[in-house]
Amino acid sequence: MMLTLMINGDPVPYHGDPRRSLLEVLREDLHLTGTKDVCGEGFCGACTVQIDGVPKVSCLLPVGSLAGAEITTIEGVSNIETLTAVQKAFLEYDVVQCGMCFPGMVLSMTHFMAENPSPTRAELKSAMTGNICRCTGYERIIDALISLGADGFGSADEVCP
Amino acid sequence: MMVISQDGLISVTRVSQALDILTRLGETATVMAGGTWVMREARDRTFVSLANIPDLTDISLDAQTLVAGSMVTHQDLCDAITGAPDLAALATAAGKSATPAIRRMATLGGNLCTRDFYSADLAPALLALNAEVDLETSSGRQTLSLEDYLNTPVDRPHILLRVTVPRTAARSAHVRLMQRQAGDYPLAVVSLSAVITPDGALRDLRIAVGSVEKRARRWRALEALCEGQTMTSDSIRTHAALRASQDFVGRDAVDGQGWYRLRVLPALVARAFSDMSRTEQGAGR
Ligand SMILES: Cc1cc2nc3c(=O)[nH]c(=O)nc-3n(C[C@H](O)[C@H](O)[C@H](O)COP(=O)(O)OP(=O)(O)OC[C@H]3O[C@@H](n4cnc5c(N)ncnc54)[C@H](O)[C@@H]3O)c2cc1C
Ligand code: FES
Ligand code: FES
Repeated sequence: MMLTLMINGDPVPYHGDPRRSLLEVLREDLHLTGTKDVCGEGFCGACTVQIDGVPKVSCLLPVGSLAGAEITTIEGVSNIETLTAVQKAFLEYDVVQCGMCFPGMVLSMTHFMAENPSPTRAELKSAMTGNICRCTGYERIIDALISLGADGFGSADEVCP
Repeated sequence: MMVISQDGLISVTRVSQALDILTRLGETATVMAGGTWVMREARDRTFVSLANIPDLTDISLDAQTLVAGSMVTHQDLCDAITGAPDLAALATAAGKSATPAIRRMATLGGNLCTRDFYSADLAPALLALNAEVDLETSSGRQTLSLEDYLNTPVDRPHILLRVTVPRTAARSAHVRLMQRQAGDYPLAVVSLSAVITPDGALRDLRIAVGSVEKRARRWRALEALCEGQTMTSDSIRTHAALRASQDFVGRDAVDGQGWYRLRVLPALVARAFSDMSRTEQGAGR
């Protein structure tokens, strides 16, 4: 049976096993490789996408359950001219090292910052549980996100992609 | 509405349809709720998705009961009950388990029905809160205590419809230990609920332990020692330390050895007790 997926605003036809993970379909069929494949088990968050605006791990989402859902991947968050506030802060604070965790980190933290525009460091740490970064030690990521409220990167609305 | 079949994933709109298909397909099919277990462990089976059955995502909370449908996610459950002192153990279990993304996907039903998952947080919390479950089986509807559901064989196939928790004047708390601060499966879990009388004695005490053995269960021997007594976190820890290795056989697994799970139990009981006593909310961690 054919299924239409809505990916970054575009309808995308899908034919195939509905139990394949969204992660596999994004990377192998559609070559949207910004969504990273790391643990495949829900633990690391590298494969995070937004489903109807809410971050979920694409490795555990069967594609057959996503008809009618709005799927946003890192490729759909912004374009090169219009980075989101979270992306700008990450760039400004030079937080990205290998980059494997960052697509997922951006999708999780953009949603979190939109809902909690002035978080504490502790709140940021618990929101980041499930987005594992092996390189940075997290503190600079937190500094970057804290800066969003303070130095004019934008209000909660502008934080939304 | 019709059954929508996409070969390996069948989406139903009625519980009876799910049971019919599961009966017909036998071991080659599995219920899919949030998918966080079946996508890892059962991808070769036909998924029978409950996502389009109305009512299973309902939650109602009043002065007498909490009723939560089996398709309620951990996050929705946490949001609905935060602030109710008697339900604090469940709010902590639902709000601290796994990761934010998994809490938005994994369901109450999935947590209680996955017999091969040994580290469920909601199971001990709901045991401490004396929950009941409603099931639909091919031979009709059944209501069971959660304790009976977890510890006795139930007709297969069945669909867990909802969980009912009686509201009480008790306070509760839920404490979980992990290798890291967050994001792992818990090595051991203690949930505790009790009424603290004006003279400081514990009444209607229920203590449940998860992740130590394969199935969560009540710690009745410890409850019996402490019921009606005025306890401190030191005295309850002492009782727990005397009983732990008599009452449980710790489970060896890659994340932790059985002896270690037993060793930490008394400290977790003491912490749950002090969390419960300390705040009106019975806040856990
Ligand atoms: C990274 C990660 C970390 C986790 N950490 C924790 C944790 O700390 N604490 C914790 O408690 N859990 C944790 N979990 C486990 C998670 O809670 C389980 O995966 C989840 O409970 C399964 O729920 P589900 O809705 O996704 O079930 P599914 O995967 O959809 O189904 C699982 C099983 O339950 C059965 N089932 C589901 N619903 C019903 C129903 N209504 N009636 C009958 N049978 C049903 C299915 O047949 C299937 O066998 C974690 C999971 C992941 C991926
Ligand atoms: S690849 Fe999906 S969570 Fe790690
Ligand atoms: S930058 Fe390398 S994993 Fe985060």
